[in-house]
Amino acid sequence: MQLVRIAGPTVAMRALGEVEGLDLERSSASRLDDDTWQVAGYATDEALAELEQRGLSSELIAAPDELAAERDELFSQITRDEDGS
Amino acid sequence: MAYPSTAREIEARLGELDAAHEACTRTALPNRTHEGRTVSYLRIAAAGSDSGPRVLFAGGAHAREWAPPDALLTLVERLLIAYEAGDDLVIAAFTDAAASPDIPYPAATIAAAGVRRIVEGLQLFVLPCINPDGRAFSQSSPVNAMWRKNRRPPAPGSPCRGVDTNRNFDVAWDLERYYDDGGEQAVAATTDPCDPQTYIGPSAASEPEVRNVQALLAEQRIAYFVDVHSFSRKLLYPWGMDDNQSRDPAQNWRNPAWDDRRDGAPGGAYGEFIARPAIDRHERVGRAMRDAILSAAGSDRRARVRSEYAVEPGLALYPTTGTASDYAFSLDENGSITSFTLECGSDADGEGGFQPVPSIYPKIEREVHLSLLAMLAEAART
Repeated sequence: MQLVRIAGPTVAMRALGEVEGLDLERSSASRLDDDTWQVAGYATDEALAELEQRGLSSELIAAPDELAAERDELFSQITRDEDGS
Repeated sequence: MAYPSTAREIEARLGELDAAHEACTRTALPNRTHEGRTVSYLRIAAAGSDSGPRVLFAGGAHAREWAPPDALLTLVERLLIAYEAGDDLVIAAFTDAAASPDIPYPAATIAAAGVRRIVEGLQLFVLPCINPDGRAFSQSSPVNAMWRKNRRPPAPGSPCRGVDTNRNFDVAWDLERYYDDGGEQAVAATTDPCDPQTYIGPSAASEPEVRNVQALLAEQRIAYFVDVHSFSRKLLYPWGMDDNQSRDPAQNWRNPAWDDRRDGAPGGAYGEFIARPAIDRHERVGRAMRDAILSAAGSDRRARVRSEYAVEPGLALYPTTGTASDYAFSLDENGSITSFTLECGSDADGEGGFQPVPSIYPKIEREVHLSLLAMLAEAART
């Protein structure tokens, strides 16, 4: 899973919900020009390949190892109770 | 309390704040969560006061968005400490040392008189963690960290758990009735219980977490509402289910004549009605919130770029149904309620998206504090 920013034409971007392995942060959608939008999301390698097939561009924001390192740092801060809450 | 707090730490902290501050009262909401957790809120108001506009700040609806509940708790804490001491509320300076070179963010101050106007002139309600079950699960293991929904048990015969609490509110909930095919394809909500993100639930307000918020909004007659989420540096105001228009009041989410015909598209044939004064008020309050963040960024160009929040209607490209902020706004058909979704932080600039690392968290926290304090100042003027 990597954090990416995806860009492309309106119709293709509105259909991104169909892409397996893509977890969009839809509130991040912003218009780049009349018919081009971009949105951030977390994507598997398979989802990235699907985006490419659909003619959409994707820019890497954080690679899987970066995300994992950040997550490790956060989990080291969490003091868990016995039940994990 | 160290960031990120756990669900149990949040609930405990609410009790501590109640015990420590006369102007603060903790109340448990009526509905326990699916896993039996209590959900509580704080009421902040000068002792004996029961007047003034009512404001509700909520957070933690989406389990994986870890920063908002912490930021809401520290806002309450700092507001109460400043009020009781008769001091200014100082937002501490912050240096982003992960940037190269460092980026300085100067201290910002809310004058003691402004703090007093807020606490003595308003009834402030703060519900820091709507969905503690989801938060506990998200924080239980790195493999669960991206969990978004609550922990509703699976229906018989289904392996799939959880409802998106920010798609379950009783406003345009029934998306299959609401939209045409294009709108249904684009909507950021689904009737599929196995969708890991945006399952709307079996019925409107089926979730105890959602009934808690709906009850609080209605019973306390909330006039100003902010639902704090992450991420995208935006202040979103209604509507989220379609683009706004102020020409035709008949185009509205309650009107069955438009069922199955709404497009959920920017610039489409259908637009959700919102009266012009309501748009103007949201733009004005939103700009005050945005400007509070930006003006505290100081003179460093990079700090200013990273402190730019956009004020927009909820619909950009993807319509949303059943959200808290649309529901709050819908409670008065005359459009008098001011309601925002604050999407704090960013995927960019090392801010970590849903889960900012502790070194950058103070930047997110100060943005939440500055914007919400600006809204409180606006509310206190009415």
